Amino acid sequence: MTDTAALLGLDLCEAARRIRTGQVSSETLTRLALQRARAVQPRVNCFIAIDEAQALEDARAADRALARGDAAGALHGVPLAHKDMFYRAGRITTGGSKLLADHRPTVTATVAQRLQDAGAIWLGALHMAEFAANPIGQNDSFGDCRNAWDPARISGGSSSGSAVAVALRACYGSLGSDTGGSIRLPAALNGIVGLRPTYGRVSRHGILPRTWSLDTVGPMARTARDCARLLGVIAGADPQDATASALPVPDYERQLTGDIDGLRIAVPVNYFYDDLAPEVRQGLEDSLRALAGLGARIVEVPVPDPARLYQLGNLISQVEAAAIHADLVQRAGDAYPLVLKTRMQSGAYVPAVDYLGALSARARLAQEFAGAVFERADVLHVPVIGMVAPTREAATPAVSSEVFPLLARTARCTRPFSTLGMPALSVPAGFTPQGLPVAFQLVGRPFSEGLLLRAADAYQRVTDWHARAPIIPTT
Amino acid sequence: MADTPSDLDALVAALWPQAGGIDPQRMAELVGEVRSIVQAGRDAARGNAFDDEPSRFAATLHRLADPGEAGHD
Repeated sequence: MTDTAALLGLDLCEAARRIRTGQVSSETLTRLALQRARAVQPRVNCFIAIDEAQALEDARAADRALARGDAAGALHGVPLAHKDMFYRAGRITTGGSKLLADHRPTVTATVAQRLQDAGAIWLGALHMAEFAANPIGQNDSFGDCRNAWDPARISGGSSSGSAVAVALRACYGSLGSDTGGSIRLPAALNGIVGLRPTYGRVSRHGILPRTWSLDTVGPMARTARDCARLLGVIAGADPQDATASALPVPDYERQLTGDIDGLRIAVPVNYFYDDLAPEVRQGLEDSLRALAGLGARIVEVPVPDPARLYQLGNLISQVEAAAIHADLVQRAGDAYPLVLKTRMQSGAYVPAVDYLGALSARARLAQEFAGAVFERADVLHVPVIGMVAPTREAATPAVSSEVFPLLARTARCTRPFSTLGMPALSVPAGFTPQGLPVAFQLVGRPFSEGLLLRAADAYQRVTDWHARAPIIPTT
Repeated sequence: MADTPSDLDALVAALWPQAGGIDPQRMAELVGEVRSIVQAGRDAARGNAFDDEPSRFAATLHRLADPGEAGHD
């Protein structure tokens, strides 16, 4: 393995440690990551913009700060890149749409500020589904971002570039956002870890909204430990976001003990296993065996109707998206993407009474779900997505209306937990015979991110799926 | 496929041939079906109406958290 491959193959926490201890400079890692970003971009289109000059300047500043003995943050000098929806005052943020090609926010997202305060380097803006609005990852505005393991296949979305760039080692970690599965799905389809935190665990101030009631911001990285590091930096109360919880942020990394002996893992007897590709089922079963081998106890549970949760979540999502985009749709006219407009327009026809009905049902549904599942188990183990990544051709049917069943099929295992506001983690669980990643999803009680990460970390200590890399162009 | 959720996207798919300009009348009829979805979700919500006020969802999440896992002091 070349030095370049070895250094880019480090996980985020190890990269941070080596920078902190002076074994490698931030500038070196940043140069290598930029080089990798340029090399993979023509193949997978995972960046919307690469900010080379600024990233190198910041890296050199990080190295100088370290040489002065300035206190290093948890991400000091580590090259990251993020979904193009986190505002930094004065810098263009497109939300994956050329309709926002000149959009220069005047505020900085709380999470962006926290990353900067922790010393992270910002390599550039990563690709995403236009306006974070579909789980497939298609984008007519900037062209599709393609799967890291097979560019003929979809990347998943909407945090497409985040998953692909991390998988291809073009950055050590990334922030994504998840409304109905937009962190977990691309993470699963590209073989990395992606965490949708509890609704309220992470501030949304200064991010491009898709919905108010469902959007979350979360980490995407190669390991559970890396996600724990990132979550520890970005989580916590924010005076600028009333929905951000005031609960103290635990030391997530300290919770990664490797010990899950006696952990009760629920496996659902209904819904989630109804439509699984055999390769996905195999990956799920193998992961359960590995977790059981670590001392976890597997218990079967019936779960309260997830289809109902899916329906309510999608209803809330389309209504709020229609409200958020109403002005832009009007201004853009025919330039606004048709599929997107059609989906959102459905939300405009939902009576206010029904929208409020859907919102008001959530608390009781969460109680019902927690009672049914988390009284009997500590975490729930389910698929992230029942199919392997379809080809881009298959995801672009000749008859446009056929895209809607695909959208529903893609998010059927992720959206129910968005409706519930509960944390959910996508974890790599192996590969199909064609070499495509499969994953499992762990879901927990509200604010149990540490437990989910502990289970995933324990699993990653006895498996090596997360250490495998796609074939990467060398130029 | 098994019990794929029928929802707004499915309703829109039914209208797609006219998607360049959705017929509001047809859309209104179909969205009527949404009411049954919402009602199903609200069947359990017949108790204290203030507990169902949407902004109290966040309080419910906090109540459902396990103090040992959630970072409580």
